[in-house]
Amino acid sequence: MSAKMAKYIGKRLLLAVVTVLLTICITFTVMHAVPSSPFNKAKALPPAVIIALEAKFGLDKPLTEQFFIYLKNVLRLDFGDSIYFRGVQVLDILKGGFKTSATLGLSAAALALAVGVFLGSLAALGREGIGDKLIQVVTTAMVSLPSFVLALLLLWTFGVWWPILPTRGDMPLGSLMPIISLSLYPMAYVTRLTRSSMLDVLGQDYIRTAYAKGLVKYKIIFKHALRNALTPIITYAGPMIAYIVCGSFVVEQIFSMAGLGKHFINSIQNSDYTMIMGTTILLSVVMVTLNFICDILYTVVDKRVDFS
Amino acid sequence: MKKITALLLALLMGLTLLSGCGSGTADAPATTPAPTQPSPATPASPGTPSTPAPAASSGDLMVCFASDPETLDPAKNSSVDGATMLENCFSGLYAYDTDASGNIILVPDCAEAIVEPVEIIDGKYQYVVTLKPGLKWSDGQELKASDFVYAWNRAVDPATLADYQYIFDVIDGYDDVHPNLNISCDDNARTITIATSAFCAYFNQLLAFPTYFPVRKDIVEANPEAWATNVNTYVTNGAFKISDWVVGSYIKFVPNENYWNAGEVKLSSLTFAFSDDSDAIFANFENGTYQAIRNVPPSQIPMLKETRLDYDFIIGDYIGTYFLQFNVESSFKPGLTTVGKTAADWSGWTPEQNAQVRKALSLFIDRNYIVDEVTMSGQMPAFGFVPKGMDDGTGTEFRAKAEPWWKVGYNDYDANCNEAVEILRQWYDYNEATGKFTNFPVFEYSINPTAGNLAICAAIQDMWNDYGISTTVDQRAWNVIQTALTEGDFTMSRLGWIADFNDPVNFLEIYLSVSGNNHPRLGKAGPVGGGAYYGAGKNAVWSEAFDALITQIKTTSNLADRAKVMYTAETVLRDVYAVLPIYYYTDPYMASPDLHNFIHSPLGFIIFRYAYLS
Repeated sequence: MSAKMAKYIGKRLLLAVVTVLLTICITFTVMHAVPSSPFNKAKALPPAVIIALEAKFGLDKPLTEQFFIYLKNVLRLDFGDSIYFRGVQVLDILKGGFKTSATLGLSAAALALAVGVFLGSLAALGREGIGDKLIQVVTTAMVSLPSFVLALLLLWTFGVWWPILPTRGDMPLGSLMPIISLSLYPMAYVTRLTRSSMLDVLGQDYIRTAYAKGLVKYKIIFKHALRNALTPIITYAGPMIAYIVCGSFVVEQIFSMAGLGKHFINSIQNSDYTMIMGTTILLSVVMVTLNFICDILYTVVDKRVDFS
Repeated sequence: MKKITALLLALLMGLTLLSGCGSGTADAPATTPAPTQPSPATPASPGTPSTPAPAASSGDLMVCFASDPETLDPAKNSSVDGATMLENCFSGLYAYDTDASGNIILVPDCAEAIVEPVEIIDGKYQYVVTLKPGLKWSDGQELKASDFVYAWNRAVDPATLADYQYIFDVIDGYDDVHPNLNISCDDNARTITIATSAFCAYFNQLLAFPTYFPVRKDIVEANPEAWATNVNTYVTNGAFKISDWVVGSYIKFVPNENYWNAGEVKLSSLTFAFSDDSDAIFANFENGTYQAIRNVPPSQIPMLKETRLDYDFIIGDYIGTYFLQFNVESSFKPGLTTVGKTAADWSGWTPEQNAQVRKALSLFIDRNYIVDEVTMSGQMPAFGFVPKGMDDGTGTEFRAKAEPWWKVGYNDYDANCNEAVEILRQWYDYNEATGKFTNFPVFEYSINPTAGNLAICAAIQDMWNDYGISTTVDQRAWNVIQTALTEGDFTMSRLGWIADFNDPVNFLEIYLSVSGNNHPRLGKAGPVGGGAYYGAGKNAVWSEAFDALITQIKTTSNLADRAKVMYTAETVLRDVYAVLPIYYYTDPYMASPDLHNFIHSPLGFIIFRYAYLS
């Protein structure tokens, strides 16, 4: 590794840490700026109870003091207790949520990449043929269909009308439908990306040279064309995986799974301050880490990346 | 170097693809993340093999009513969903059951019999309840009278942070800061002695209320917060005991062999699945995953009512009122473009006139249209604040005897509108040709935007618009709107109130001057002067006019006299027209025709103690 590259990585790392800190700062400020309280119930709590609750969660202290106490605790990986779910630690909920979302997300991303690259190559090779046209139409539809429509459509089709798949994520094989729902959009996107990238590469001089040299077709396609065509897909895959691993509220909601997406939205609705901070920190760390890895990979993939 | 990097890269890509194929098509189905995920709720039992959610089979009941409860600690729970679970896994002194003709009745549960109170001194009443012999907790330990006393003292201790602390306010010695309940027990005689500060007509119901359930001192003190989140420490005394809990997914209960009537419990398991997506809940009912659900999607209700009413779609009773509430400090003085709260907005305009304006606004609302065309689930148009289904304490339905606030017959609407026009014409400009008022101040209609609230809001806006009355919709998230209501930062909002126990005082006491739920700010300091009445043609302050009546209700032991005061109190509340009841709730739910013998209480609890599947 060159000194230049080390410096580049160091800089990126520093930036990543600053990003997470900034996220904590902004979320904390915005969260407290919302005129709501976690202790406002439909049936009002006795004032003595509200005072005691505020003291318990440190909400009676000045905001800046709360912030620094929180920061100090987070550095020790202490995310506190959930305000909404009485007696449950935020870290415990996050662990469970992350496992659910990451398993779902990684499976969906893998499915999307595998099928997408395959279909995209197929479309490019059979350019303007019936297969290509069909793939084009289907992927356009998939890219434009909102995920909640898709998830509900799957739920009713394979869960109720033709009940061959389980409808809750916690049942055996229950993660099948959520994985499919999550993967269809990136799958369609990867297919289209692969197709155009493949077409681009197939038109390059070196491919023609390879043919002229009399290389076997599959070798040309797999070794020379596909490998080069994958560069833009890797660029897309990084953020896509980061995004998908962070959980989808819609899919988790419809298939009754307790993932990060659901926890994140619910914590905001409940004004569950400790959960909001916990999920935000976890999600930003995941995002920043994956983007960091992506940046590094990028330099490896493409030598033209400027380290300055 | 360059070559090696390229090679590595190729390898990486290949791996990505390979692993993609692998986990996408073969591994993924085998890894069902949720069931194997160690539940955050069971940190102490990482080794516990968690079973997948049970499939529907005879005796295994799976229901879905809502998303995760905030807590299953009887002292801290305040939600109906939490209460439903507590009713199934705990057993109080008394319990709800049904009689031969299907009516909900109170029966002794832990207690040997339902007892009559005896008057002691100073108007206080004493209850001496005896426990059944041989009662046990789910872990086999003996259940003692002192467990009840401990639970109640714990629930009123402000340090416990109990939402429903105040539900003990009828017991002598209650204070929300320094409580010292007048209760005692004798573990050998199995008796609990309770003194209420006055005669309490609904005390028996409280003894069946979840906050009054017993908890065990050694369990709670070992783990004051987390005992109710951990399968290993969640010791209960009801028909069911906890067996598995996956946060965000489900809680599974199995019969508690130590329940005193365990022989009558027929289900082999009871699972509460969690979800808050009504479409998904409905789909899971349709394919048989759930055998009972709440939260029926509004879009399905017309179809269900048409084809499956009383087959598997049931419109259950629910004691509650959906209403609009006005901030009485907002002035509708003619000439204002928008309502105002400053002293200037009130000069030359009286609270009495303001109350009449609110009355007119109420008369313009076609409540039959709302229940028939908008909510469509058998709700009933409201003609008073205390909901239908509530008893006045003498065995008479309160609504049957109370003075109606307005008429809600199908033919009454035109007359109502004419009356409203006559009221408003006294102060506002009315255009005879268009039939509209031209200078009525614009005001905000605050709601938390659920589909139901939005639809009702749109309908009411239209009804007012017909008379030239414009409103702007102020949508805020539930938690945000709660704060605004508490702080008086609104002009008009919707609210629903569901009964905790079947007694009108549960509704009337909301509007005590000091009540935290008194959003209209009746009797609070405001631009017109502290504690003002804001009523029609009276000069008394609110605390004298209304609070005094509530005190009287709470201390009168003659039930007929007490009922009379309750009727008067409701009239006093009516005359300020700060709350405009719209309809009385129902509880539309679905239950498989194979599910028998469960209890649906009009307080919202669904109890599966003796239920079975055929």
